[in-house]
Amino acid sequence: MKTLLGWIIWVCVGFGAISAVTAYFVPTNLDPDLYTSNSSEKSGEHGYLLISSAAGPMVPHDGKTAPQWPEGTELTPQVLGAMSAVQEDGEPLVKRVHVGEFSWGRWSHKYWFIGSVVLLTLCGLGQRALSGGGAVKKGSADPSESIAGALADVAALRDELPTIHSDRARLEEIVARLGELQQTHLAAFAETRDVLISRHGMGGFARIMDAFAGAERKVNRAWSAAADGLLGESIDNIEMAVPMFEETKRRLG
Amino acid sequence: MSDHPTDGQPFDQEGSFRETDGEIRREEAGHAGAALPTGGGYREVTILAVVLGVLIGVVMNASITYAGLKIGFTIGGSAIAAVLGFGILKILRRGTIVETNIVQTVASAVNTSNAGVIFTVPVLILLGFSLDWKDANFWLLTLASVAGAIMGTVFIIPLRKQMIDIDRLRFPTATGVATILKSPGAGIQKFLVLIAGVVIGAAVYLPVALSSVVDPVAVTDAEIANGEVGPGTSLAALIEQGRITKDDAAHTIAMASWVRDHKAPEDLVTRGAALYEKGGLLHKVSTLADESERAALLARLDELDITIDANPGRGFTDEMAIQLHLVADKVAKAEGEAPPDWESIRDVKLGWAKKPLIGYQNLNVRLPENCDRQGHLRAMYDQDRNDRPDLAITDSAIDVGRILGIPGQFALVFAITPLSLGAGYITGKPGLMVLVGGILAYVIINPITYNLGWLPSEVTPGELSEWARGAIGKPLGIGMLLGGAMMGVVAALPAILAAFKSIAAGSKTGHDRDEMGLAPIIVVGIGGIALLVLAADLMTARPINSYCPVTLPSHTVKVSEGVDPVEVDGQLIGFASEAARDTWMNTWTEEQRQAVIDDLGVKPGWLSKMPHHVRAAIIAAVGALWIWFAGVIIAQCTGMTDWSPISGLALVTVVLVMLLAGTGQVLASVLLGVALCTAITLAADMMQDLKTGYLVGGKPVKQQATELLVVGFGPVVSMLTVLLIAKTNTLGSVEVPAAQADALKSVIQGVQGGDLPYALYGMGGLMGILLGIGGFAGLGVLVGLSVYLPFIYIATYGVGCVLNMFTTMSRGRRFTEEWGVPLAAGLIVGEAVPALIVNIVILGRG
Repeated sequence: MKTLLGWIIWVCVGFGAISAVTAYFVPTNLDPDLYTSNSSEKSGEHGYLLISSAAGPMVPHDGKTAPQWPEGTELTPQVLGAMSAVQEDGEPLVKRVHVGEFSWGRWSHKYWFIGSVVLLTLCGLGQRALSGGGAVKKGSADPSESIAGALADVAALRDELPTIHSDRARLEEIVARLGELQQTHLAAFAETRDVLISRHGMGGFARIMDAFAGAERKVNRAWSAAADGLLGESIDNIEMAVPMFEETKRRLG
Repeated sequence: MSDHPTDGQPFDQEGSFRETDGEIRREEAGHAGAALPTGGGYREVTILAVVLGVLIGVVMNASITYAGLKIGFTIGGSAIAAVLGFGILKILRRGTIVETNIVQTVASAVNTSNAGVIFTVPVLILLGFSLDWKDANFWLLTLASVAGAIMGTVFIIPLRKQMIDIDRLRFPTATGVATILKSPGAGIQKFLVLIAGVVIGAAVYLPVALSSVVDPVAVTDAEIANGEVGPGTSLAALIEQGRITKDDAAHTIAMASWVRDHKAPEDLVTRGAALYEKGGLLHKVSTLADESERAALLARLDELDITIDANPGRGFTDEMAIQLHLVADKVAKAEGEAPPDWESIRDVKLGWAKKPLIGYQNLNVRLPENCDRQGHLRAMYDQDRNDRPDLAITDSAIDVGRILGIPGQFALVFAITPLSLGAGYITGKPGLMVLVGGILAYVIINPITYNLGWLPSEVTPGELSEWARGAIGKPLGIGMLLGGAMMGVVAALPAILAAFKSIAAGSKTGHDRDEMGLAPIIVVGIGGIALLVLAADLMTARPINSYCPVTLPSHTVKVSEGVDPVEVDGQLIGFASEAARDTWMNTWTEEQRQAVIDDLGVKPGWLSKMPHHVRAAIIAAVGALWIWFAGVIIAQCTGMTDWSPISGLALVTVVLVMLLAGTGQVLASVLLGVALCTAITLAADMMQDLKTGYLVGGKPVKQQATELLVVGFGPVVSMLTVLLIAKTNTLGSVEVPAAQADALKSVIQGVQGGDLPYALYGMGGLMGILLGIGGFAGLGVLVGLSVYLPFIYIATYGVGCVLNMFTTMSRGRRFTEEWGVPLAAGLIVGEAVPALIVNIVILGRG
């Protein structure tokens, strides 16, 4: 259902955009009074709108071909009559012209636009109502499990480091295990956004992520320091990460 | 509350993190085993890193500014700076990961302002204003740009927690840069994958970059003798490759014959002489006080105009005609300068055909020769109507759509840009929205409106994409962007509030040493706003016109600083002399004055009736607020997709200021425009750098403080580079088109003529807001971006997104992150580095 609503939203955007285009690309067969303008810059000497782009079929002009009505042509009733004259194929010579002024009366697809935005709103609200519920998707990690895993891994690393025989081996161990952690539990937790928002609301989610990000940054710094060969800095950050993960877990509830 | 808690609780009562001392905790924990070393000595901010960053930033800034004016867009600097910094520090046997991160932070901060400056400042020259380092306007614009740089950096700092920690925006390039910085420690295999990406990216992009290095083409003696293109010659190859037309070749052969014979057609030399004399007289007349001498000069100018009209240019440029006159008559261009010789007309700036070093067009890959029953090539395959199938691969793009037989209006053209491919790959599935939006706009909506016959008949299928983007896509897309961003901010408010609370709590207790506190942010922010108020106040107190509207000939005599201007609708009109001012005030009729006012585009703004200082303060305050909002938009866009709609937001700024201050206030509008553009580019850059910092474990406060320290350099470098280029080139010419500034010029003229499609912006805005109602608040921003941006880049970017999804589905997310992302980061560097090198080469060649 949610996917269907998503597709309808795209269709609405498409119809809305096409309808919006008709606000400035107006039909040539409306009541001539609708083409008048109060703007001296946008109207010609008779008070009718000037076209913003050339219109009409390409015809010979000064040795080249150019549209029959150049940009700036005034849309007088005579010009409109010539433009909207029905051809052999049953279509007017010029279906629409580009104008520089918006008018409700000239906007041919306004009701399409209104319909599109109403449907867009309804689909958006529908999607919002259907989203979440706090359930963990099949195949996705549970946020609590990910944090517990991360906490366990970091704490285990912290506890094992003193037992490793050399600084070089400790550095290698840190790079390997934190690199693994970044790709597993931390990445998995970061992907549970929708679940967290559903369960804790946006404010609660923000507080959880604030704590988690602090811990993750310490892990990242510990990894970088180890890769640079600075064991002390690395261990400091591992130790600081542990309570931060504990706080994240506490905030998760 | 203890500074060193023993309960293992790193948070104070307000939920802010407390830094703890690792050594103390370790002893307390009493872990068994060997004594472990303690922290400290991890080099991050060092003098070497800052100095190196500034040097790299200055070189990049100058070269990218120049290239940006030539090719219309800029390249991001973070990836290049990271690689350069990494390499140099390694050569010096120094450089930790976080220290190299500071190098790239500083370098990109100094470099990034170029986009803000080149998208806005050159528009003044295109509109007839002058730019001179002795002129106060130049320094006011520089001041505004510096103010913008400070504000952009400061305003975005408090949003770091929201965008990076909480919303975890991807920032593809920043992720790529972090991958580069971490590569030596990530193992040899991943490092090799990264290098492979760099090599592939460079190999693919090098022909694109080299196609912008051009030289005058050689013409053979036979071609000169026969007056036509010979077989197998360079000119023939250029025609074959679709780089020049037969007319271009004919002009070049004619020029070559003049060089050989030391003789040019008399009519062109006469035209050049008249144009040259006219230029000199226009300069002279602006300094003449004597009315009778002025009248004589004006009469001579009329004669020259007749001569110019009687000797048409025949397709050769005016610059070429003038050069022919200088060469033929052995005239020195300036006192003390030797007269130019005939070889001097062998110059691409004068219209001589240019030959790129190399490019994909050298392959001459064309569409299939698909003919109708009469044997004529179908129009779809020959849009330029030269009876040959069009190129399938140009120097910068592949026309996949037409290769597959899809009509040209569907615009399935892919830019050759490994950078976009890599950024798309790193973005992954979220970027798919941009691709879908782009397909909707360019592959569905545009062709529908075209096929329904709604668009002008002169628009060909090949032009449809760009034409519709200008007339429909830009206003609709910018509207969607703004509406979507507004919705995004509303939806993110709880996260923003939580982030602010966290920072405020950290500031209050002083425990969160990793984050810059609110107090320095507020102080520096107020300083930036004060600079902006000052610049706006001084700029709006200056005349809106450069040339005196009374003294003839019009548009030639400069306004004098010593003559009091006249206020019209809150906008000041300046004059060259007291006499001119008196003429305006006492002699001219209302109609004459109104004609000038209309010519200057002066219409009252919403604040026109307010006292000047109040008006300037309000404009600056609104500008500052807008800068914050625009900074959020840009950071969101960059974070989600790597794209930043800077020019679109510059356009909105200029329109906003002109509506507030009056449509004649072009200088003030550009002033706010340059402040905003610099601000938003710096905001996006700051956030990208902080994302990289997050991924490598850098301390945000160190990056933030260092960026604030150097951020003022960039605008000065960019402004001086633009000034240098403006003095030695003609901005707006074929050689230095300043495309973005030219687009802004159209908008300014559109506002003055009341010709902007405001309703389309509004409809786009409404759709942008409504798109954010659903499950994803940022959808409006993504769709707006896809409607606004040229599709050829979106298409390539979208391929990257799809490839990411494919590898994730087939090999798993871990494979994508561990192997795909380093390769993608390599592609980004692979494009960025050759682009920078070629920019420097172009700058060096002048």
